[in-house]
Amino acid sequence: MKVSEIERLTTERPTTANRRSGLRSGTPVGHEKRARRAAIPFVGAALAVVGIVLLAPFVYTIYRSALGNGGSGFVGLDNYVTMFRDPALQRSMINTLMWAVGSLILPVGFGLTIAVMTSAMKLGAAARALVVLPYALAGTVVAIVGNVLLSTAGSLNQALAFLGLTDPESPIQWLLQWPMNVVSVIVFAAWQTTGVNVVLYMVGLQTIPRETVEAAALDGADGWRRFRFVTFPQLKATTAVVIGLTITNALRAFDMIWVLTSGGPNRGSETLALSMYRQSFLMLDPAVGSAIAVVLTIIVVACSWLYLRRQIGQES
Amino acid sequence: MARHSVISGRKLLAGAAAVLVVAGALTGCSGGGGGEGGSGAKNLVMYNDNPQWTKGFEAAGETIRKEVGYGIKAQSLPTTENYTQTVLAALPTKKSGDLIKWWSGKMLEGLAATGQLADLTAEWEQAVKAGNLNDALRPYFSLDGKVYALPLSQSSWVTYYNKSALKKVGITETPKTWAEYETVIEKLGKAGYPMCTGQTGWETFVPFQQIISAKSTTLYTDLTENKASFTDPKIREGMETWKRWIDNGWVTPPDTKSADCPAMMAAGKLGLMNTATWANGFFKTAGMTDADYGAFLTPPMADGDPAIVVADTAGIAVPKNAPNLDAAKKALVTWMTTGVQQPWSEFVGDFSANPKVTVKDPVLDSILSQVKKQQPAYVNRYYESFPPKFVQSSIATFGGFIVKPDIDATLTELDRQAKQEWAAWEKNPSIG
Repeated sequence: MKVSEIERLTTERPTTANRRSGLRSGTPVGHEKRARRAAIPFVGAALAVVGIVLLAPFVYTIYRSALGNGGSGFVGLDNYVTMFRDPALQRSMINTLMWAVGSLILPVGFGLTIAVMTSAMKLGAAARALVVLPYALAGTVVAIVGNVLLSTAGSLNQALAFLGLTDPESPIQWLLQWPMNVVSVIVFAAWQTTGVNVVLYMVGLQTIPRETVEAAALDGADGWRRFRFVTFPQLKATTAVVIGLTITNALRAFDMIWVLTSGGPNRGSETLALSMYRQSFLMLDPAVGSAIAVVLTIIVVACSWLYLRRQIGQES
Repeated sequence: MARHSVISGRKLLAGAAAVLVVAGALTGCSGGGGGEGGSGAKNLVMYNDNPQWTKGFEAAGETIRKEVGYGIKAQSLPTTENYTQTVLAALPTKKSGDLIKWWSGKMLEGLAATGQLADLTAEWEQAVKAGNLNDALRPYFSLDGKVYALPLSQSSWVTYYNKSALKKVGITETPKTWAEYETVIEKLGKAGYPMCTGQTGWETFVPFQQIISAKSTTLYTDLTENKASFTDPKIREGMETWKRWIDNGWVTPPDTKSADCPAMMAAGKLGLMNTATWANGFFKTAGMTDADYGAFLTPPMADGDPAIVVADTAGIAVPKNAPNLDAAKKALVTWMTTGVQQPWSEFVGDFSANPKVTVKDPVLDSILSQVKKQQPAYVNRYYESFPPKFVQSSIATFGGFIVKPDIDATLTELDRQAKQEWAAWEKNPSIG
């Protein structure tokens, strides 16, 4: 069999079998009805919690973003106009985009690489444990470690000066110059989030039938071709989960940025999550703050939907 | 038969889960009631954002109980932003609490303008008459001639210095003139003992506050009353002084956090830190005694002018909706008496607004004697002196200046923000 044939077979999902057996949802049978009814209190309780704690305040935020401050009543889209005109918030949107792209490349890319490379290693489990360990730390703790490393008088600069790579009189300002400070925080956050992606990819790798990989190896496909045409296509479902999780978490990143740069200097490294916090709670301006929250939600939902729609569409 | 028992088992499980949820909700909602304890002890509920001061508040409450019949139950929220939102939301309701810790100056005016605070002018005058309150603080706690809070404590901004570092660079006396002060900064900076500043956090305005108030307290006060503009040439001169410190490397790197500065001083990496007397305890926590660190007042730029002290006062207000309104007002009068203020000031390690209170800490005591000797001029802290929105936006702008000292860009931006926010403040100062 050619590698391309293996690829085709492993990516097609057998749907006709399901249809023939009549298990597609249509009219529920008697015991299914009872099962559903019994499930209502459990699902209902969860829905009630999510509805009261998350959905109702969200609807209120949308409403609030159409009002002004200090009881000044309905202002329509004024808050959104203010938001898109503010240069600090424009910069914030660019930073948010950088976070989305950066977290696609780094935690997802590294997660996949480390999972694949350590899956066949002798001490692979130990290596993976070391990579996953930072995920057990609170984000604030990681950020404080980041400060020790990345601040102007911190360990990284000291190491570089010691190795003669930089002039000790002019250390690199990792956290103070845009866009380097945004990139530094993204890279440092990736150190922590790569771990969970490694675990997810390990699970995905274990669902790949060994025969497909062995067949490709017998065919004479080397490591890279095996990975690209056999392993990776079968990880599509896992990749969908990993990307979905990573993007939504990256777009909401707060504690890392707050502890490392406070969104500064002069609001230069803020993302929309920080801008929303600053506007609502520091500037005491819930009008524009609500608008920022709504825009951020739209971006997160859109990113997730755009990617997941393709993946889920392909599978059904 | 088996199916029947499986379904009733499910119903049982669903029922048990529902009971648990309801029981949990009831216990959750019943906690934290109006402060009336089961033992019958009557307490005033005091909202604050300092959980580390709970013991002090409640000890003060026991002294107040003897006079007023009510003690204090402190309800604290650990983060300031959370606290601000909670108070703003709670004030118009029945759960407004009896006493609210709040800022002074414009932040207090913004809260008073919501119309939710009780008028405490009579209580203020009572305390002043009894000699328990420094009346000079009155403008910082008033709106439109009415008083809305009594002082929690009265901190003063001074410059803490590293005693051994000063000795090392050959300086034997703390500076009394601005020229001497700049010499101290230069010598310490060159010897590797910089002054603490940083762009993270709210403290970015500190050098501006010190330099401009030292240049002229009239200029500083005019700026805080929108009678002077940030484009004034004297302000520009002040920024040039600050730029000189930054360009010469006499200040810490811009990503220094001021919370780290006391420890840096203890480790011999810092020479000076301009901060308030409420930070005095942090130097102790870092392991220093009055043999290692001291403090001096900011000298004036013009010879012959008095030294400058920036006053930093928080206050205690009473909501209009307070469940125990009269008791709360009486409690505040008792709060200012020496019987409450002396142990409170020792507990919190800071000065009191009651002029009869003495301090035990040697560094604070040295500050007090310098104040008695030099009779300084007082200005209110930057944070309380401007409309709150402008304070926040200018903090970011000063942070940018600390990293890249571009005077033109900074002053233009500050001027733009000031015009915008003063206009909004004059239209409607309410922060609710």
